[in-house]
Amino acid sequence: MPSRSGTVVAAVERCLRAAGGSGRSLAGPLRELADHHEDLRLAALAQGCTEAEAEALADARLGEPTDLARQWAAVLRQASWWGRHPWLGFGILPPVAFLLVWCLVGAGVVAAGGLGLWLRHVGGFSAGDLATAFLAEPEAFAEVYAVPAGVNTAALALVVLGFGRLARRALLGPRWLALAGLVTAGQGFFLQNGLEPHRFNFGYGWPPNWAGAAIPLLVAGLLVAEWAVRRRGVRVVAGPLVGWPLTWRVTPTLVGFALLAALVLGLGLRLREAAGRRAARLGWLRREVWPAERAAAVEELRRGHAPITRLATPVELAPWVNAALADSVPGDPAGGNHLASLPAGLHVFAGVPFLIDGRVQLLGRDLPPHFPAWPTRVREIPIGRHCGNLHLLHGAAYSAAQPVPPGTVVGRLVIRYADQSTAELPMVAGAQVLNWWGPVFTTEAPAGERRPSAPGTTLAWAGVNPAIRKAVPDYSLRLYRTTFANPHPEAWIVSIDYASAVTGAAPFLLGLTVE
Amino acid sequence: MSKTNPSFLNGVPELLVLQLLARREMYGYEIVRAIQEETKDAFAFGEGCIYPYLHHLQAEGWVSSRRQAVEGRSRNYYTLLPAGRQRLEDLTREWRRVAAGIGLVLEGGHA
Repeated sequence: MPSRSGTVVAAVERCLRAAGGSGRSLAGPLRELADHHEDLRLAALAQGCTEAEAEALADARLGEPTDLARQWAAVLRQASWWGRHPWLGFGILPPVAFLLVWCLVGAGVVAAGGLGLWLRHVGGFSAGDLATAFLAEPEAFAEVYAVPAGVNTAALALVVLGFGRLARRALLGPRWLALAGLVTAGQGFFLQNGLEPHRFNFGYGWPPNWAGAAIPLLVAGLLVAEWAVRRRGVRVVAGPLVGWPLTWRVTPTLVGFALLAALVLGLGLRLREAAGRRAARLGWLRREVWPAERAAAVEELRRGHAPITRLATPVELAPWVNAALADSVPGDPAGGNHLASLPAGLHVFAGVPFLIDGRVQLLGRDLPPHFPAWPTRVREIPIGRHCGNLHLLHGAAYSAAQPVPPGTVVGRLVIRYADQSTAELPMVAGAQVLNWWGPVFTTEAPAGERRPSAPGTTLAWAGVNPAIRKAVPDYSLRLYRTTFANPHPEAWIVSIDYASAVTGAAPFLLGLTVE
Repeated sequence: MSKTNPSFLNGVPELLVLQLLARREMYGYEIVRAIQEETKDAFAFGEGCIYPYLHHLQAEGWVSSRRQAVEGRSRNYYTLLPAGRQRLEDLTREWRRVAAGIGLVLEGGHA
């Protein structure tokens, strides 16, 4: 600890501390000043001065405190990487630091949260039990959904606090801290993340995250206010590096920063230009092309396909129906994701008559298992006849969180013959079925989304519901007619099972017709 | 004592300090005393400003320092490093060139 001899030394210390100097970095400089002051005082005493005169003489010879503090501040600043590269340190690094801090805070919260949940459910619960409990009773774990917002808040605040500390330790003053706060606020403004069952997303986007922008500004504001209180009554050590560098020098850092800024600006302009072109084209497609193609497809469906069979017998599915046409698919909290616009009763779709009573809905992986009415398999739908073909009117609700790559078997039709043998007819994503939400237009429709590839499958009905109108107005609800050839037409079919493969697609059956 | 002379930190002190340290290891108070005695108080400056300057020389790698207890007092002794010696030679050469130029002008003025 440096001695406090002399008012000059004490004044220098006050100035440097007000500028943010910490005890450790100031200890050496202040000790040397105090030693020098002591040497001056002893020399004055040796010349016959009184104690007070010696003290005053030593103070006077040591120099003007503010000048000394300013010179020390400049040296200490240059000794710090942050002091030599403030634009890089406080203008560029905060976003990078935010990502690291976010990961660290997130990992800590997840670890602590997992421990807390485990303690809450302690008593023989395994991780699997906990997952099951979460799926069965998600509302009991509501606090989990607040985790990303909490992690955002903590990480944004920590980043500004950390850079505030760095700015203070490098004696850079509050303006560089304000710059770090502004940059972090800009990052927080576009920060978008969220947590849902089976899904976590992290990224940047629109609409703006006002809380993400406000938190860094608030923390930076508090730190600047605290700095202002600390410097009250103390002359500021205002070297050229304390404030904005008004006297520019071309340094490698400055050149690098300028190149990086030019690169980012150029890239941003290119992206903006490309996004503008894409938006213009999308607007044209939405106005001119897709409505016409959609209308043509619906009109074609309305006119109806030529009958492909005259001997077909619709199967009564009413005993297996577990969801009315107007029932919304679970997972849509607002409701309205249903097939109410599909006409019930006996109708011809894609050339085949189907008797529609409702939906035989099977589970996919993303539908919570607390819907007991929804099985993974319905068994023994009685047929009791020979037949050459089986026609299905069906669809599948794809999960947003569980991808369903083309070629995935999403369900099966299991034919049970009288001789106890069985035959399985797989329903393959991309071949017999596509997501029931999708385009019926063809121009620039996403690859693999236009039409199923199996020759026996065709679009049978297209419609809309409130949910799709609100979420993806360009898309339509799509149901398909699939015709399977019976692999053993000579054998008597007793019954048919309709089974889900429990993938990201939840298949559903609306009509079954045999011929 | 007058206030710190702003020009003190504009190049001359670097030459003086390095020259003094080239003779022997010294601490801050000794350096100030030596400057004032050898220049016959030609420079007026706040003596405390020698320390930021010494730390700057140290950061540049021209001098090194060590803490040593002497007669019950702990002092920071500064030593010239080889890079500092090279710097001193450069500065001396430059100073002589400038001084010679200034001398020529002054002599011309008196003629």
